[in-house]
Amino acid sequence: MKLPRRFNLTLGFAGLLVFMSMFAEFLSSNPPTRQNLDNFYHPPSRIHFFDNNGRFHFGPFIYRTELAEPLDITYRENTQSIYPLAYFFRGYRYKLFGMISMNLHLVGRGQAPFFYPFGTDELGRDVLARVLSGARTSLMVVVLGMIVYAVLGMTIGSIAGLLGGWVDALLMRFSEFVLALPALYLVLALRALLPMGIPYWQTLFLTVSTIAVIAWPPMARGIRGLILQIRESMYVEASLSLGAAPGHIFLHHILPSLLPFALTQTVLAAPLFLLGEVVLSFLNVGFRDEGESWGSMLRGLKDTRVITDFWWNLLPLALVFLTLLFLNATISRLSSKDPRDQVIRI
Amino acid sequence: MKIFVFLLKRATQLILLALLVTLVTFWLSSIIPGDFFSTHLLDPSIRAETVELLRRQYGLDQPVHIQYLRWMKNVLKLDLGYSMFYQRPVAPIVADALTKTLWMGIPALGLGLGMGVVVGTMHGILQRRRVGRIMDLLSTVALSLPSLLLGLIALLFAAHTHWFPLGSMSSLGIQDANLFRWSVDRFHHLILPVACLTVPVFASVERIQYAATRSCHREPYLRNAQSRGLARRHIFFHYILRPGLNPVLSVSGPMIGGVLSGSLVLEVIFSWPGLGQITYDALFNSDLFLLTGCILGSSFLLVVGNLIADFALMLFDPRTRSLLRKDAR
Repeated sequence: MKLPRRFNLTLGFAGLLVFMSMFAEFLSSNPPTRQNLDNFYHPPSRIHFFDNNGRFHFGPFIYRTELAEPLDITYRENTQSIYPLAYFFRGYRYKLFGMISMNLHLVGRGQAPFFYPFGTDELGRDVLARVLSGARTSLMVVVLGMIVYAVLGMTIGSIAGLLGGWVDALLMRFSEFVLALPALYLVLALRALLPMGIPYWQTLFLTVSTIAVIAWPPMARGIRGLILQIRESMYVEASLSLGAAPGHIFLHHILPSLLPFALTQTVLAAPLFLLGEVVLSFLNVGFRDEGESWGSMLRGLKDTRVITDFWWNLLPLALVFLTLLFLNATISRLSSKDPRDQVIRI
Repeated sequence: MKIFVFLLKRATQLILLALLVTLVTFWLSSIIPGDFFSTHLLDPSIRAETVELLRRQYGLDQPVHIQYLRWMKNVLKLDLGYSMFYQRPVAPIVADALTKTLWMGIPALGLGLGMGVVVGTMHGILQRRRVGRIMDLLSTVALSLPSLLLGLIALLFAAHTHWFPLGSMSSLGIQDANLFRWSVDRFHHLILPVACLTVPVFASVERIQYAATRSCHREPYLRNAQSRGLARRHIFFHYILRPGLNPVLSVSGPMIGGVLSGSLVLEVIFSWPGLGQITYDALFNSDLFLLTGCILGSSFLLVVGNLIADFALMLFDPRTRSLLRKDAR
């Protein structure tokens, strides 16, 4: 299948995100979890080409910084000696794709003074490294969420559409009810009442499933409606009269015609999962410090001072916005027929 | 008359389902270990017997179904229980928080719906012009600005310009001032949160109204009206705007849920003591009765909102009224 040209930009951005999250350690020079309490709220390292005497250096370099005003948390550059940046240098060890042990990094410095292209947070952790490894978590939530959403919605919709009768009525009433709920209140309550402080993978699973539990109705309702239509169609009747088994009809006649709708609806749900994760982590019920995500990085922003004086901590916010923009641009190219089945999110 | 029977039926349905949610809340809270008084046990100045006594007072020593039935019995008497954290009855706390949320929610919903319908219709009509293309872009951007992002950006804006207060509902000591100064102050505090809540509502409504207007353009009745030589203004109001309102009105019920969710985040950001903030605190204090009360309160808001939306839909679109006969059976 060849995609139309108007998808080029969106595909490019998706590729960039995936690349960023796969090569997170390679692209940054400091481990995302390393704290450096001498350099907390360090502004982005300034890259210089000219030294103090106005002499030009071919390679860019940085200066060592020291805390000038401990109360204001401002840093002063010490221009005594210069520290050139290294490319493809050997820094801390990490596992590429979680398998291949490597210590190669794109640009930076492996030892003090550290290179912080986007500054540090309240514990002196590299914001860029955290954002990149956070992209991994956030994208994982979106991808897993889309899979869970598709499976859950299609299963419930198919059961309702195929069985009919009171099962159908019950499921549809229930879906209306879930649609009418204040979603965030329920997700928050669900998530907060489930255990906290659990390992990374369990957090991932719980976050995705709590959002999916609230999000499935549009998918299920759409699938059910389609099945009811297809059941009445001529080709199903013809197939039945030829003696086809119900399972065969479902697999060969019904399921293929459901797929276009299911795919569209799944893409429509992607922003919901991205945003759900961000909001949950922001409200302290999602990912914690061990496994960073964009949302959990935003938790520090509840302190107004961080927003005003240490603005580089807003980087995850910019990335959330860009990702949402990309998802919405993709969605607006896929049209949904019934606005009732559009996913509403605030 | 039939409309009211239908609305009444729907209302009872929704209320029953809201009670189901409270059941789930009780059940979930019984699964997790610990309750409000668990932290008291760590305090050496409180004896274990005292904690036992307190638990018995609040009925937390009973199995969960007994707890729920007891709570249910009190709800029928309009008594939502007693908050363990605030040491006050739940009902006034929830009612108070609900009004504070409405201060933010109603203007946002009104502005968002109004602007969304107007801009969405314009967008649908102008889609082939250059303005339409620009509107495409702007609506996609607006759709990508959830209230969390907007709230933080608004805070950044307010902190740098000092034009707006950084959260909270009113300035200190403003209660003593006269009504005029009080309302100016309240308005000043409202601007940012309401603006942040309005944008997402506006974006969703605009998108839906745009799609509806566009699909109206393909309807044969529109071409028929044009060929009959009706005035453009008449065509716009009666053949494009009115049928196009149906989708927006039918999603405005669920939209209220979205507004509630958005206001929860914004209340936390702007330290607005509304329902969202109270729910958030109740969750982390495991203040069971307050939490259940809050969920009931938000469900109540949703039920009322959904009913208003249903009513408005029937008022504006006669096609739904004809469906009523089938539905009511």
